Formats: sequence, C-alpha cells, structure tokens
Amino acid sequence: MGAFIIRRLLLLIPLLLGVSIVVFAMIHAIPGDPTVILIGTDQQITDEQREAIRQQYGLDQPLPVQYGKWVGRVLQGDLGTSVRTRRALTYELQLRLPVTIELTLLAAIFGTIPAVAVGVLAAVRRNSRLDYGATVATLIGISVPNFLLATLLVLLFSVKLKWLPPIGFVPFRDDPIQNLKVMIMPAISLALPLAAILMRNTRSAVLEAMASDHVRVARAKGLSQRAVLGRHVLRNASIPIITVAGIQIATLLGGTVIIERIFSLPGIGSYIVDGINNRDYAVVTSVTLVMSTIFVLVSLLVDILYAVMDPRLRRGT
Amino acid sequence: MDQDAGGLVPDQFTTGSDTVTDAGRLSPLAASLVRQPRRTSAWRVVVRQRLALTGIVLVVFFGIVALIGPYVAPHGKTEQFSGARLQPPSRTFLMGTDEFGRDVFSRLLFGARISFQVGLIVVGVSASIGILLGIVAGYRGGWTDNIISLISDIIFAFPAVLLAIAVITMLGNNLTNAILAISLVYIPPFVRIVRGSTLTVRNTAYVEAARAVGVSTPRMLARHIFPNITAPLIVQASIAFALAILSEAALAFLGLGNKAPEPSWGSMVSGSYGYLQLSAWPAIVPGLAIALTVLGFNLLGDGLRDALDPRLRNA
Repeated sequence: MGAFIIRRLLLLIPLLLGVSIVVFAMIHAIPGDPTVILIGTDQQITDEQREAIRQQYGLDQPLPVQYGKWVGRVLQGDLGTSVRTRRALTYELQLRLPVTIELTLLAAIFGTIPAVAVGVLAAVRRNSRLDYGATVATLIGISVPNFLLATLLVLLFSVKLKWLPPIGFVPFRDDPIQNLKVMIMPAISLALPLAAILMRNTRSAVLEAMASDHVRVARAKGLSQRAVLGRHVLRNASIPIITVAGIQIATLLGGTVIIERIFSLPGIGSYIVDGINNRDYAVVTSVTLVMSTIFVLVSLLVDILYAVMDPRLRRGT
Repeated sequence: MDQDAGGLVPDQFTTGSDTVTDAGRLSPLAASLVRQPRRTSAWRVVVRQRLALTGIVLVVFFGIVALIGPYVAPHGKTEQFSGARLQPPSRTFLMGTDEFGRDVFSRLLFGARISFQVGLIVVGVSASIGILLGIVAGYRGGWTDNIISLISDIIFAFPAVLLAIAVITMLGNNLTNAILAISLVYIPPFVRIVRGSTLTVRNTAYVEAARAVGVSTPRMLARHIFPNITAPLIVQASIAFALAILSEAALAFLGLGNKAPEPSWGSMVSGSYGYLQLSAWPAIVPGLAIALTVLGFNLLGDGLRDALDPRLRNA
C-alpha cells in the first residue's frame, strides 16, 4: 500500500505541473496584452505606465522565468488582483469558497446516501419493479440538464407552493434555517447526475459481490440475508462504490458554476461567470486554478482511500 | 460490472431465468436458501430492448426535427410578436411565446439543428483525435504511452464545464469556439477507451501473426487493431453525443457560445428563466427537448452496449 500511495503521490507532481502550465498559458493566451488582464480593459493608461506594470510583473522576461515567478507567487497565496474590486483575489476567493464547499457537501450528501440505498435495494431485489424503476430513473437522471431540474424545482416549490425562496443567500452562521432553505434546491439540482451514476454503479457492484463464491459459501452455511449483505456483500461492494462516489463528488465542482448562477449563490462558480462578463480575466484564471487543484487533490484522496480500504493493495506491492 | 452468471455457466443459461442459473450451480438445499428474484431476466431483456427502441425513436425523431425543422417552422426564429408576449400555447403559437413574443415552437425547431450540429462535430473531432492518440499509446507503449496518458490525465484534471469556459475565454466567445472547447473536453475518454482496448488486442495471436509476416505499423493499426476495438467506441460515441449536447446547452445557459437571439435550447431556457412566474412554457419546453434528446442518445448507447458486448447483457 505504501508503494502504491507513493506512486500516486509522485503522479501528483506532473499533474499539478501540467494544470499550472495550462493555466499559465491561459493567462498569456487570453486576447490582448497581459497588462490588460492584470489591470483590466476599463483602465486607460499611458505607455509609460504600461511599461512600469510590465516590469513590475516581470512581463519583459522570458516565459520560463515568468512561469517560475508566477508559481512562486501562487504558492505564497498571491493569485493577483481583481480589476473590479481592486482587492486581492485570494481574499475574494476566501469570501466565496465556503459557499461552494457547503453547496458541494450538501449535494454530496443528497447524491450519495439515497443513491447507495436504492442501488443496494435494486441489486438485492433484482428484476423487481423497484429495480426497473431505478434503471429508468438512472437514465433520466443522467439525461436531465441540472438547470432544467433547477427550473422545475423553482417552479414547484417557489412559484406554485411558495415554500422555498428561489434566491436570497444568507451565510449559515447568520441564519442556519434560512441558509438551508436557500441551499436545498441548488444542492438537489447539483446532486442529480451524481445520484444517477452512483445508483447504477452501486447496483452493479453489489450484484458482482453477490455472485462471488464466498457469498455463496456464506449463504450455504445458513447466514441470514442481513448478515450476508452486511458482512460479505456490502464490504466488498463498498470499494468500487467509494471510487465512483469520489470521482463524481470531484465533478460536482464543475456543476456549481451553473447552479450557483441560477440561484444567485455567491460562490466561486458564479464568480467565474462574473469574471467573464466583467472581462476580469484574472478571476477566470484563478478560479480555474483553484478548482482544478481541488479536483486533482480530491481524486488523489479517493485513490488513497481506495488503497487503504482494499486489503489486496494493502498486502501486495 | 455485473458478472453474475457470466463466465461460469454456458451462455444459454444466462438468457433464461436467474432461478435456472442459481439452481444449476447449487445443491437444492442451498438453492432454496438463496432469495429468489420475483421476475425472470428474460423480462429484463425485453424491457431493455424496449428502452433501446425508445432511444432509437427519440434520436431519429429529433434528428428529423433538426433536418427539416427550419423548413416547417410556422414563424421565423427571431420573429417578434410584440402584442403576444409570454402567451400560453394556442393554435397560432403551439408551445406559447417567450418574453420577446417569439414563437417557442419555431425556435425549438431551429434550435434542434444547433444541438445536432454540436453533437456531430464534437463526436467527430474528439473521436478522431482520441482514437489516433489512444491507438498509438496502446500499441507503442513505453514513453509514447506515458506522455499521451499524462496529457490526457491533465485535460481530465479540469472539471469539464470549467475547462470549456477557460478555452472560450481564451479563444473568444462564439459557437465555433464552444464546439472546439467541448471537443477538447471529450478527447480523454476516447483516448482511455481506445488505449485500453488496444492493449488487450495487441497481445492476441493474430496481431502477432501479422507482425511475423512483416505488416507495417500504420497498416497494423488500421487493418488489424482498429476493426477489433470498434464496439466500445460506438457506445462511447453515442454517450459523447449526449454529453456534447448537454455541455453546449450548459454553456449557452451561461451565455457562452451561442449568440443571444439565436435559438440554442440552452439559451432559450436561461432567457426565459426570469419569467417563470408569468409563464413557465418558454423555459420548460426547450429544457425538456434537451432532456429527451440526451435521453435518446443515452438509451441508444446502453442498447448498443448490450448488443455489442454479450458479457454485459445482464448488467
């Protein structure tokens, strides 16, 4: 297991390097002069000022040197400055990141627990009506765009029933009840594809585990259905389920862009769209960097968890 | 993947009922302890075929809509009836009108073309590049494989929507660049699938035989490897088509790619979302069109998977 984790950690280096090079290339490939990206298109500046900025940010130096300096700044927590607010982007992101994390966690809860439960039931009662229902629900779940589900939820719970507010975010610390009222519809909309994919994979994993020889032995020696499921089936099925859940939770991050936009949640997902609309390109690049880094790290955690849970990997290599 | 009854028993048993397979492998006493499924898996095969058929019907239906839609639309795609904003469905406006008094039905017909165009180009581009990279990586192995896999992993390390947003920011906000961005996002799955299949095919006896008689590498890849890895590719193409349509709609919803008055289904939903309280039709109808088209391609992909890979028939 140790060797596996070390190999996986080593892979992190080229991966993060690659991500940082792509984001660095973005900063330079965005149309116009990099000074424009750094200070914004709205600013009218003289050539001397432009030159001063170029020197300040080292834009007159060769690209590899600039890349090295940029990585150095990023590692110290300096992501640049927002043109709009003139504040450090690290500060801006710190304000917004908790919203996105809360949304992702809620979606992860809504997307995993019911999906695993239904998936196990569908496998145990294979070919029952519940199983077919789950299959069809899965297919609908991966086909409905999250913004359509969001629209339908708002139509039902906000417009018709008037139970939940469609917008109006308040921080959890200020008013937990109101916060959850606002967050529940976005979290469910975000969770749908996760739930669909997880349910399908849970069903397959449980079916596969149920077909294995040791489960047959456990049944043959007369263990109850509950004991067979709990001790023999679920324990084996949990590894592929956790892997899929981990990958899917990492992809939730991307979905937050649309969901935060619809529900006007002040997270980093809606911030990147603001960045595009305001031509505040430093926002776009920094959010891209932060989100992909989180994405890469979560995937790493999932792989390590996988190694810790799978005894075959623990003993081998 | 579901492997019960797979491999251990001859195939003819797996298409029968689960009871037969279980009883065939267990003593009568043990079999009686196994909880019996209430329905047979033959029933399941029928349901799955019905689902696949539904998929084909949906894909063909929306395909025809995309082809002839613009010619049969009762109104223009941006034609505004200022006296008839946010109308419910009527004889003049089959699916109502939107916030500018435009006919939702006509815009839906025009929008189908955008969705299918995006799906076709994205699958074409990402499949061609993905197949080329994957087959070379899988066949050559070594450093070639390491580098191609790493690049593929790096692209994979960005959340899809985010990568597309980043590419559009770099290249400029229009539909062509959105299509390019989505194509880039869906290259890695093709690389992975093709690479994996190539790895298994590479060590078969017939490839070795071909190598022994001195077949050149390009000919080997094109004539001996590629024809044997198409099954998972066709399934992936169908799923990528669905994902491409979803991605374009998501980007259009954010105001990226499609230009404002043009009727992309995603833009139609986002434009009318703010008027939900007055009329839900213009937001819900294009949303459902996206869902049904994507569902069609997903069902088709599932059906193709069942048809092309007998090992997965019970999954």
